[in-house]
Amino acid sequence: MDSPNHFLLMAVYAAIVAVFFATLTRRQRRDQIRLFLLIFFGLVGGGVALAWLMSLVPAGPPAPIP
Amino acid sequence: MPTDVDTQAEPQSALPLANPFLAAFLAWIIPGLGHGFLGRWRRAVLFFALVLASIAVGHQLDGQLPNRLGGPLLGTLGTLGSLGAGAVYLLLVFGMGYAGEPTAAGFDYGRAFLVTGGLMNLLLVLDAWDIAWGKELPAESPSEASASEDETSDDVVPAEATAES
Repeated sequence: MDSPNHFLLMAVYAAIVAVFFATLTRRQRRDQIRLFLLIFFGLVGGGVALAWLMSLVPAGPPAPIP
Repeated sequence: MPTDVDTQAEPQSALPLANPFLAAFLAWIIPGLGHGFLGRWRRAVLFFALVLASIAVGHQLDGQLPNRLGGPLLGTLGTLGSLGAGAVYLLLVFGMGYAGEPTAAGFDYGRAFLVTGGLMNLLLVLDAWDIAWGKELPAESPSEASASEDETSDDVVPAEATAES
């Protein structure tokens, strides 16, 4: 895969983790959906918020390639 | 002094429902197989698909698969986490000689997926262990469970109170 789509990968990761924990820790379908939404949007929203905060920090010189 | 409330709050299961060691081993070697062994086939299939999906995405990205113990702490922890994938990890490392492609754009992203797959399977091992010991989550939701406990709490009278009456 040449150029991974960062946001898509983050969404896929969040979806896998959210389904996993919703299934593992909840038994009722309603509770599972609620926990899935909480984890999914928590991860994606948290990632976007963190990325926005980092955009406020001025970029320095590129790191040297080891 | 233990009361009826105490004894009903935490039911003790002296004997496991199934061999917990076998359930944990099966859960480790093949993701979801422990739950299948315990009769939870629907969840077993879903867990198998989730763990494999995570590892497949990591592999597709040419992500790094940690495979060294005794080196830097984070590398060792990553290896232990990845080892949680059981046979899938062994197949990747020893069967296919996979370690990831450092020049790939998804080298770091893929590592997150690969290690997460192993860590999820470790949680499945613990869950299978608990189910085998009869400590499975109740079918009702936590809120409903607490509500039903509140409703029945008045019906359970401590032994001391009944003795006094």
